[in-house]
Amino acid sequence: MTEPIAPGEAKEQELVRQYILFGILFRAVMVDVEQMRLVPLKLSYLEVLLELSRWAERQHHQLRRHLRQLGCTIVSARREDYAYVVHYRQRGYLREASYIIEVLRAECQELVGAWVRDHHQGEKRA
Amino acid sequence: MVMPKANKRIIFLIDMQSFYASIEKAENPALRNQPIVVAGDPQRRSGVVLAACPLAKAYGVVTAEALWQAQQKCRQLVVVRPRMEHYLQVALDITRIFQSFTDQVEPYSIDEQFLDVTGSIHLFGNDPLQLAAEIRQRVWLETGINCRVGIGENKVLAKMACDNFAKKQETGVFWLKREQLADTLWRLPIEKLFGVGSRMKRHFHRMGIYQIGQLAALRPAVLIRHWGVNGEVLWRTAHGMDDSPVSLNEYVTQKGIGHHMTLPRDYHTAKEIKVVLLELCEEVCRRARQKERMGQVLSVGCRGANLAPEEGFGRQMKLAEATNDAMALYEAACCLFDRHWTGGPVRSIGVTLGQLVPDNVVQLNLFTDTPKRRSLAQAMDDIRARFGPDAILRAASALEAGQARERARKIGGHYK
Repeated sequence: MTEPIAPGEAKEQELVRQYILFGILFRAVMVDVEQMRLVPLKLSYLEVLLELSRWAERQHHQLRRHLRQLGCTIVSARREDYAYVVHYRQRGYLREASYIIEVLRAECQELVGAWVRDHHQGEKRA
Repeated sequence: MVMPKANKRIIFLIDMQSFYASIEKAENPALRNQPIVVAGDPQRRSGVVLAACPLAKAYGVVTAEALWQAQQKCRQLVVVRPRMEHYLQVALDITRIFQSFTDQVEPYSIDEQFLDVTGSIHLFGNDPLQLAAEIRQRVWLETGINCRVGIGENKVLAKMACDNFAKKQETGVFWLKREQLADTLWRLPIEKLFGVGSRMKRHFHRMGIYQIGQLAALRPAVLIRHWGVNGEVLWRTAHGMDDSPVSLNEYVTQKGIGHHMTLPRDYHTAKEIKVVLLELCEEVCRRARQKERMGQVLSVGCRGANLAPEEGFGRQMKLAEATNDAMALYEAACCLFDRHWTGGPVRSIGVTLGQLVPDNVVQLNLFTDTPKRRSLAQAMDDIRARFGPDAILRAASALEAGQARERARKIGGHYK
């Protein structure tokens, strides 16, 4: 089940975490988009949210490709009470990561903030 | 690669940095760059600091000080209300992470756990330092909490490695080896030895012992003459000797059941103190019944205003027969209290039931209907188990002095 720690392993764990975060983010934004469609608003903000969701999904897929190149595939990811449990196969060995839901939510919020800041900086440069 | 010697165990003591505060910061990005403490009740400005983040500690805020004192030291201090249920859940989650490295995991407290990795180290590269770094990385990625790892060949060395060295290292990992004690542990002041508190430190200073090395150089007989078995334990600790296993069953054989309460204000009259005494007896007996135990020795402890131990007392008595009946225990507790209370204000009070025996054999009494009292207690326990600890209370708890209703909203005296 386990193997000696390779030097690059810490990086792979971080990539798995990022992959999970972007996966949750793009799905969560789509759920919020559906909620917003039901609320009568003066203007439509759907385009902004859809762009955010598309960005998160692109990142998610890029990370998946990158992980696959490193010999790492996600086997399952599901919620268990307070934790989000992910099983991934790393060079043939099955590993587990168990993230606290509240921490994932906070990190997704941070990613939204980072996306907004990037857009703002892009506007400034333009 | 560092190969451990075949006959030595490899024990980790992993400690979470500012556990409660770290959880709050990990789960709320808005708090990340602010000095925060997890403490009592921010609205009432009451209680003590349960955890302070490193930013708050830089202002001089320390754990266990009064909230108002902490707020005086740091004006922009953010006070977060504790969520004990959630912290317990996170601690369980961290245990689960540790269990993926070894099956020998022993929770020592909510934020400290022992791991015996002797049998599994070969699966992780045979290098304890690398394994410790790997564990730290996983805990950080999955919970957002920074942890420190003390490594030793037994629990006592691992604990002192963590408390005295790992917490001060940038890497957060330290391996305390017995053969290097003279250059590491023995140079530290005596109070840094595990098991030496402020009172013991004063004793040692009076004996002219200021460093752990001086204690280690003494003959064990000198320490045994002063403190009996505890003296020998201290000598063995100074030499890094400890044979206790890392085991979940360490705390299975319970010697006593006790409950202690720090009151929100000083209680001045016997009438109101006895309300709390009754609530404590009720809780102790409930837990004893849950474990199917009765106790034969009762201890009552009180501390005075400012929690000064010299203003209180701690006494015990042997009961005529073992019991887990709240009223029988309360009568005995009142007897102890009336005999030893000097009339001063009381701020903290505790009741402990010792010399536990199974409760399946009971001495019947001609003058009390024991089976009826036992079934009544059982019915109350069932109601509490089903509908919550405050679903049924004694009438005395409805008085102003009663604490049972407030305590029902808490775990270990802190908000759920």
